[in-house]
Amino acid sequence: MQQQSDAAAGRQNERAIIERCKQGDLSAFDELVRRYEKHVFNFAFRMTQNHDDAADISSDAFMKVYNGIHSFRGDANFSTWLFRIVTNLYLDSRKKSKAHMNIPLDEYIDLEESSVARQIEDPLPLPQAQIESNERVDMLSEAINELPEYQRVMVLLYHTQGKSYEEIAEIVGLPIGTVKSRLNRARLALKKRLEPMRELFDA
Amino acid sequence: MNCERARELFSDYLEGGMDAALAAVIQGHLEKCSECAREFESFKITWGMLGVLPEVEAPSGFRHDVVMRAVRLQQERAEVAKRNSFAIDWEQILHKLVPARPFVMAAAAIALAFVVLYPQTNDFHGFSGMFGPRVGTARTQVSQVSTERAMEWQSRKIMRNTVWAEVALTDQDGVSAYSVTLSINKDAFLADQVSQSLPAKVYVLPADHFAIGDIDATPAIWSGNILENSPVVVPVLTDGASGRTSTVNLLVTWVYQSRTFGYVVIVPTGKPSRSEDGSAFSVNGRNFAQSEASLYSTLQAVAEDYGKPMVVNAYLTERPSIINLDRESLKSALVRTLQSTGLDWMYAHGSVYVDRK
Repeated sequence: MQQQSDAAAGRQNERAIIERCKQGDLSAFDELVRRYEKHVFNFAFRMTQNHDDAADISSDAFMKVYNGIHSFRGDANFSTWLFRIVTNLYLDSRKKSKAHMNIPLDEYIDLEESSVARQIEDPLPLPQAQIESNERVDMLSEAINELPEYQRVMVLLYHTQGKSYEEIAEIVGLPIGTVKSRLNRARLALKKRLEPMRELFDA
Repeated sequence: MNCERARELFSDYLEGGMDAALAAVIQGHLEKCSECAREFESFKITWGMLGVLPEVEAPSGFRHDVVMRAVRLQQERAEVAKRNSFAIDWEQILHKLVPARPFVMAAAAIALAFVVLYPQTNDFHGFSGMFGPRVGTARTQVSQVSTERAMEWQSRKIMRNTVWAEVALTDQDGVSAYSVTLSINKDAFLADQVSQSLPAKVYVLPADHFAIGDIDATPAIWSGNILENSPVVVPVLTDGASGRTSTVNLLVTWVYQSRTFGYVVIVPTGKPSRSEDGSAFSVNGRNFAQSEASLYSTLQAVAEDYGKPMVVNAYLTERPSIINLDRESLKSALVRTLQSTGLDWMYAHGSVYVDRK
């Protein structure tokens, strides 16, 4: 009960911040960014698997919020709107890079350099537990990354951002039934992919 | 129940809350089918695995950078609005509006620009409303053409890039000043990284001139270079003093390496009039039916069809209404117009390519 009224108070408070933001109050915008930067960046990072791209998408998303806050309806859910913007920016960027057959040469070079750097900077062996957890994260990220784009977005929204099916449906603009069935399909695909690496996760 | 159907329902079954009878059927199936039972166990474990992705921190200084972007934008808009409100200086058209960002991609040869239309009378994002009534913001974004088409037309002798924007202003209380901002899209990349300035022209045509061929007979109200770091703000005047709706067609053309890529941007602006039963309204004679779509999702839908022009009604952004743009009618109006010009043109991916040979 208490939690519910806290959540209600939080929404009320957020609405007030958004109203101030609409009046051009930059401190209110700052507050919105503060509230959501971590969620947005995490989501963008898991989608792009790249710090710089994630930062660009996150920054552009907040600028879209800033520019479009006038058109944001008070009765809508701000976080759903924000995630919709982030999702669209990501999908657009994917479309663009596909359309231009843009081979991210720099990225490969970066990756190579950084892996070399890591070996040099880190002479001590990592504790076994840490190796395992890193491996785990890598496997999972890789498996998620191999999903079709929409499924990947949905899996991340559901399993890392804790969004409900209703929210995801609104974010990706698909009917809730479609979201549910695609998510189920995605989980089955992940199951297949992760099954052989199960022992990593058992500990 | 067969195995395939059972597996389709794994998520629902695992989460509970599904119809009890259906859950019982699945349970029955899992008891009978050992393979599905194994699959389901493995499915549960996978579900658990998905929770292990650790959180990462946003880069330090991220919030500061974002807010500074907003601060710069606000200051520059306020400055532009203030300057244009007191006196329109046709010479002073270079304003920096959008902070520059380095081109990050290097791939095919495509230039793009975007056009921002907004009334300059007042009150942007916190600028106090001392210069007139608040009328909202119309924003039009033009996106790139597809690589494939660009390549196809690259070899042709094409001279100009045309943005076609129709701006219908219904201000009825005197002369209104709007401004058009031209800038190179921050996401743009130019093939050779050399040409970071884009020669462009802006024309205002009366409403009854609705043909691209008329450009040659009309002097440009502005011509010059759009530089990568210096968006250009061009003031546009409309005269609504007669009390009638004043409508202008706004054309922006630009040259990029002697190729013309035409983008079509149609901005139906104007005060919507409602139908009697309130179920639909029209803007400038175009009908907009109400639907469940929000303005935002409508824009997304339009963007998908047109490449990425944002179609915004200046009078609707203030309080977004539920509208559903009739994309087909916008497109057919455009095609009709082009057919009457006698020019060699093509329409693809929401863009018009005009051959000016």
